[in-house]
Amino acid sequence: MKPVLPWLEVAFFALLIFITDSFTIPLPKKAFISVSFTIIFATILLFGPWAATIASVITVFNLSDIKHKIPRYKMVFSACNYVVSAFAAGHIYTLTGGTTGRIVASDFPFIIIPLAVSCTIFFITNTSLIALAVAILYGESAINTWRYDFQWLIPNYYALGVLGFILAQIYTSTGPASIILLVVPILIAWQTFGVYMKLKGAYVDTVSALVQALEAKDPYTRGHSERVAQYAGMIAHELKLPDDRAEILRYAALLHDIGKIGIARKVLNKPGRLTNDEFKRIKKHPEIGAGIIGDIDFLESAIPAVFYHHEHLNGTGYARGLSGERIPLLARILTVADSFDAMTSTRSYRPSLSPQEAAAELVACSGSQFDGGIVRAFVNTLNISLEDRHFETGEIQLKIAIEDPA
Amino acid sequence: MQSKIRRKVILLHTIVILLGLGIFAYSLPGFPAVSLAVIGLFAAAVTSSRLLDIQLPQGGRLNIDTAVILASILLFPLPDTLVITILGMFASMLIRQVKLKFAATLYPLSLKIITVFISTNIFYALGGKPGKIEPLLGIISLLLLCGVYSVIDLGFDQLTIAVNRGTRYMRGLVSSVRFLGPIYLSLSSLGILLSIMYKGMGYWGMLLFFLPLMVTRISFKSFLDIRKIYRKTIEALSNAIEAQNSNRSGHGKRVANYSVDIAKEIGVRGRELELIGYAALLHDIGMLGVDEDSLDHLLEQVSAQSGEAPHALIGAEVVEQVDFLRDAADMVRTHHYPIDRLKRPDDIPLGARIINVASRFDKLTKTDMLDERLTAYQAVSRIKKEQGMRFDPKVVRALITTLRKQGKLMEYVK
Repeated sequence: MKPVLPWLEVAFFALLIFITDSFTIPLPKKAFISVSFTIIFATILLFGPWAATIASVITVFNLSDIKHKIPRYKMVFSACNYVVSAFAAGHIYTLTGGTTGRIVASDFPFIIIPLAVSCTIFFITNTSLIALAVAILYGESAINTWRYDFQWLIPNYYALGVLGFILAQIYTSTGPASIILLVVPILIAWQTFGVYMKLKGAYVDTVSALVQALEAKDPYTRGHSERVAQYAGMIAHELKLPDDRAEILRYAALLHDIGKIGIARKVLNKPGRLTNDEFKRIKKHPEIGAGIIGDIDFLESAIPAVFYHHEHLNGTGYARGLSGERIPLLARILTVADSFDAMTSTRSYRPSLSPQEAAAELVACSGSQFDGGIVRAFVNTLNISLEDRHFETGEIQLKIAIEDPA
Repeated sequence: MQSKIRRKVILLHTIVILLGLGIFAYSLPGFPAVSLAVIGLFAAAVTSSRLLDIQLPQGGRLNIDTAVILASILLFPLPDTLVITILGMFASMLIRQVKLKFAATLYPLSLKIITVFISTNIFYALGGKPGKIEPLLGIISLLLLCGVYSVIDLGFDQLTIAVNRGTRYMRGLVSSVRFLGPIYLSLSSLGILLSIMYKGMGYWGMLLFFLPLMVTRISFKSFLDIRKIYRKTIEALSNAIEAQNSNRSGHGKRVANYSVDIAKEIGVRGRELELIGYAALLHDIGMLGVDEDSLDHLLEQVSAQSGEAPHALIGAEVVEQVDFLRDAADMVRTHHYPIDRLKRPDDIPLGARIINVASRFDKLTKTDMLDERLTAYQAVSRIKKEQGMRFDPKVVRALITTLRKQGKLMEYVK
């Protein structure tokens, strides 16, 4: 026999779900997130799985979706997603021994198990269904989408879960008014977080726009960073780097020469030999670049790649003279991509090499300057694209080069 | 000028401290109404939330103790709240190891005493009673308490800034209410929440309360941080770019400062003001990387008739790539347009008209050729000759007003 639900209270929580769900933040890929999980979770804890499942139906009306003219089928999908997730998380909660209503001190510490399990199940169900939908709609890999858009959310989700637990506790001891008082600051914090995400995107946009503008002035380097990013992306794909690492690599590639911004053009483009002093200044650019992006928390993991992108495998490079495996992987990738583009574009002091010649040069220098594994991966992907463009001699030359590493 | 400000500061400090001490002495009878342990607990909460304050971009700090102080107004009689506030603030000063100078210590304490006193009395006058919280029935008195408290708190902060720096008071207040309004709304809700939680759950309520408070703080702080870093990085990059041409060094940053001052004088605020600042900082970004020799060549191409300049077009293209700055791109593109080019000056964005004047002023006063360098007064008169044709008279007037306020024109006016 099922006890009758307190309909009025469930309706109140459904209203709160509706409000919180209408404040969404766009994620880097196609997904949107909101804090409605907090309320749904509190509903599970207070009134059980069925109440939460029924209350989640209200998410089919989503003000932000209506405003942004999101197609109807997507709205229905996300509502169904919430319903399924609430159903699964709610039942897991009661199955693992969670009690609904007021939680008293004697429930601790065992209540933590159902709480944690339920939170996890909700997260997994909800995000993997979204990732799957994005994968089907836009033809991307579901696992990659999940890693890229949702993996970093895990701690946030547990924080929201704890918040939901607190909300339920406050509700049982002090009633509905205090819940409204709690939801207001949470929503404001959420909106602020949304602006923060936007500025984060703007930051990378701005800095790479400046780098590109700087390069555009100079026929020798026009589009250099953009191309290096493209080559680095190809290598990352071939090496099956996870999407989040590949994204950091992209930032690092776009910004790797930002440290050159302060070096006089005359020095950078000097035909002929540089003086010792001039060379010393150029050698500083990885360090300057790492310093410029060093202030930004989300670019922190890109710093090593920028800092070490002129190291050689045998330890003869700059800025620190690291060798072998001690050079970070992303930096080793960046070196290969950077050198390839430098060789294939004309510089003031020498004409350009053909892609075939440049690839052969990369292979020739594997082991001393470059990481052989990365070069092999790069040449593999290049080979394909060279064939696509019907380079007649490319294939043979490359094959010889690979079979006979100098 | 300086001594005038100093006198004003001393006067303000004296009045505030006397008033604060007077109110405190007047209100103290009746203390303590609740147990000293509870007072200690709330004072500790004030202290710990004060230690979590956030540095604000426009100067000053944002204290999140508002929530705790509001809660104690709602829970306890006035004398107890005053003691809690003072103890909490004083302890945070001790921990921060601020040098406890007489005026510097008493001034903020007195300001807080006055704030608490006024808002509490308004709350009582509207029928509010401490310890009896009715979030639904007593909504008006609650709203007014939070509103009055927030406005007075912000108002005093601005008063201090306005007197110390000699800036306009009301304008500062309006912009700070706009900017900090949402966070004060959050803190107010949290304050009422804390009072309810404390009544219903006791010490546990106090403990649980700190999680939403921290969530609020973290999101607001990371937002402020990234804003600051964003601006700093763009400044650093534009500096680095300009460093290649010695006679342009610092031009972007100075033009940004002039432009923001002028825009404020005209009454621009919020997002548009921010955009004008960025556009001014980046207005010559299209010249970046150009060597000095070819730079002059580019500058000559700025047609006096149309105001079309290659570097402005290139610069606009760069800025346009950034979603966040899209509206600034138009300002960059048109920043050399003479206003008689079109029938109505409003067809050129206000930001562009401002940057046009500010950039001209900076070039006239900071040029590398010493014999061509003009004083501020000479530069302004030269710009005035061209107003109505090249420059917007409204903007030129605003430039003159700001320069005068900063004392940069004074010595030349007989």
